[in-house]
Amino acid sequence: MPKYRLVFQKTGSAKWLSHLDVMHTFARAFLRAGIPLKHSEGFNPHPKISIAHPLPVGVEGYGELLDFEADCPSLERVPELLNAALPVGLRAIRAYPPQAAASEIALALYRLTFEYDNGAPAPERLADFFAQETIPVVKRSKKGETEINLRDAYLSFVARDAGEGRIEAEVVLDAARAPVNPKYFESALAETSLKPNYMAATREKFLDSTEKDFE
Amino acid sequence: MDSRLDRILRRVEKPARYTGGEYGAIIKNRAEVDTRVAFCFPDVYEVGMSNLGMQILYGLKNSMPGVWCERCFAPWPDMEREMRQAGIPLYALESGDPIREFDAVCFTLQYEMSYTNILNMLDLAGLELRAERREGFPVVFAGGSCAYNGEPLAPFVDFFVLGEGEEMNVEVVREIQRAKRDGISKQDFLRRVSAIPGVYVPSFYDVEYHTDGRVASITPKNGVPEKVVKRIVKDLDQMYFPEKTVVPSTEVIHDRVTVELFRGCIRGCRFCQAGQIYRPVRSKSCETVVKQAKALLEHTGCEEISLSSLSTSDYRPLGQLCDLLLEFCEPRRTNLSLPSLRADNFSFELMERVQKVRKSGLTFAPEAGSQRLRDAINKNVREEDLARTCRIAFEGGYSTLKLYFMIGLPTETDEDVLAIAGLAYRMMKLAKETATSKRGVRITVSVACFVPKPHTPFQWEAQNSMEEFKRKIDLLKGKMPRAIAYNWHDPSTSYLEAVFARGDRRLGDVLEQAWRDGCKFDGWNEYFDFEKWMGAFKKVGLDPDFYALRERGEDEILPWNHISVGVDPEYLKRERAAAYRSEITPDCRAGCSGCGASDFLEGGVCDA
Repeated sequence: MPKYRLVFQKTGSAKWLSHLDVMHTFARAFLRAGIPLKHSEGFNPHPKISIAHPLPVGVEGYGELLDFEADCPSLERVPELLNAALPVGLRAIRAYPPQAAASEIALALYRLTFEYDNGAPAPERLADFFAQETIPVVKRSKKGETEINLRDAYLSFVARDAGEGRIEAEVVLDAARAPVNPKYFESALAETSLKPNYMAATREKFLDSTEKDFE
Repeated sequence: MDSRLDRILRRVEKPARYTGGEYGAIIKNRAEVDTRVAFCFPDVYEVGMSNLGMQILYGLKNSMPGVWCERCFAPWPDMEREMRQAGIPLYALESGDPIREFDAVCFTLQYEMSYTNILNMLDLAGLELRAERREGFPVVFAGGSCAYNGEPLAPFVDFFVLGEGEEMNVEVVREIQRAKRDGISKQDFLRRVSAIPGVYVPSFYDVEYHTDGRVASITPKNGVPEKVVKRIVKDLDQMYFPEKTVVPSTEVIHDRVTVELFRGCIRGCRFCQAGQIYRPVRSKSCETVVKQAKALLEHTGCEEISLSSLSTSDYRPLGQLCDLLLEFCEPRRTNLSLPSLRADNFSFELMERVQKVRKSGLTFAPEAGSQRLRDAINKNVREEDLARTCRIAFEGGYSTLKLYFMIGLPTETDEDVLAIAGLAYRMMKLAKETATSKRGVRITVSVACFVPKPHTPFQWEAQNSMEEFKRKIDLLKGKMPRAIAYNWHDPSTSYLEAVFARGDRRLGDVLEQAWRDGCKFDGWNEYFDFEKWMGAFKKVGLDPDFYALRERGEDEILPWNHISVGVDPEYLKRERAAAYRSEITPDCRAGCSGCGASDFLEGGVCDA
């Protein structure tokens, strides 16, 4: 079990930082904040921090989890000290000794905002689309392109009209088995009349296998 | 951030380049700001954010009440395309506001191959390229090492600032504040700002040409001085230094804290522009360096600190400094790096102390293969010294050695070129005999093409033609031992550098034409397009050979004749003559050679 866990937000301009950037930025922020992180042993020691299910670049997160080992003066003061040392968009919320390992995260709740510059379709149409049994999308990775069924990646998709040409959807994604980048919800619509002009994605929180908030 | 920017950022490479928001970035309340300055670096974010000068001047200008200085970098072509398509003009990173709404737009000139990026950034900002076509504010000015002959950019900038910026920039920005308050015209502002020592307004100098293209005369008007003399800061201990800098959240080229040790160089290598233009030698005290280093390491949380100067091993209290810094760095796991070490006064014991864990590698720049040519260029390094240092390093377990050379230096013969292979061979042999590293020693030889630079003893020299460079590169390739990795610079880039380094203001037309034809990021191989450049010269009707390959007469009026870096042209001529006799000039510490730069300092004595 890691010693401590930090809940943090990654929003606004910070959503464009890569996972490595975030790790590096936190390592420095801990140092700036006067909280010395423990380092691994060996030839090339690195600070002991790890982030559960790193966010894809461009996606905001409100309940991100970072496990760390450090000599903390007071766990309660960690967020305040860190926030004085973090860049815009990265914000520490609270730190605590965790009860469960990050590997027990099962699900993630996402909020997807579909923007339609010329008026949004009825939310039911989006919900119907994402209720289909098969939703083929082409997944691109370094290894090449593979076709997957997006429907296997989420448990539920609930959409509502958010006004101003926007439809907001709450989606519970499978975070454990084969997590997908939420951008595929946009690309799935690319060839349809439901194609948005833009889709913003936010990960609200992690859930355990019983759909309770993951601590 | 609005979704308009988000919509394009998701399609570009490394979007974090374009968002700002870093720790240490300065956000001011618009209501308390009367003067907005955009500090533009004409290259991509990762390059610009590695530049110490930018961090210094950014902090400096923001320390002025009422002034908000923001950063702006050249967007990579993928982002530029998206911005143009979406109609988003070039914006400053801190506020996201378009820089065309600012009061001043300033550029730092680090190398000639970034000039087209300046034009591109002006255009992307929605500003007219030509200074004469821009009315009112923002004014556009430029400084940095290329400003000592910024003539090719003269048509595009309103003025240059020459020399060290720590004091001059405050005076210039104050003048901009005053001009805005008084509501005066740009012309009146330029008259006022031209009175600040070190400020050069090119439109206040008429340049005439002989029919063969040489400069016939440079005539000042509006009461400006005949020679604009660069500025220096006399006391580096009292000088402004930012103890809070912007810490990039994303990877940059040099992701570390940098603290200067001294300015100027005691060595006087005859090819080296930096060695002349940063004179006279002035040092920071050990106490100042330690204080600034600690403050910056604490502020940034960086894992590495680099000590910067033109020749680190010439800093007198280097040993003491390293001891003091290591005391602080080791418990924090901070690496200390010492670049620009010379092979002849290199202290191995010091290197060992500094690099306790990682034995990275050794890098030296003998510059020339033969002792004769090293004497001619005044690079007073002897092969014995290099061999002695390498031997200790190889015995101590070092496993890489990089050697940097130049070809096309004045007085060079084929024998000198081949001597590079000889030297490399002898180091390889030495490595075989002495190396203790299991992997042996990997030796790399890198060869650059010599570019004659203004304000150096070689400013009158002809550059080798591209064919000649290629011949020499191949000649050396044939003799270079196979076990040595051999790299060389592209002669066509060096040729263009030579054209613009010693160019006159007529070249502005070529710059504009090349930019219109699509040239940008010319310092990046993937974008450099030599044929486009040659086409631009042809369209404008100027011959690049005239600038690169022509030897100038010592009595010729050079395009930078009205610019003084404080070094006496007679001294440059003496040094050039000594080069032709392969005679060395002792370093400034061993004896003053009377370059004239010490006149900047009280009592005329520099801190060599």
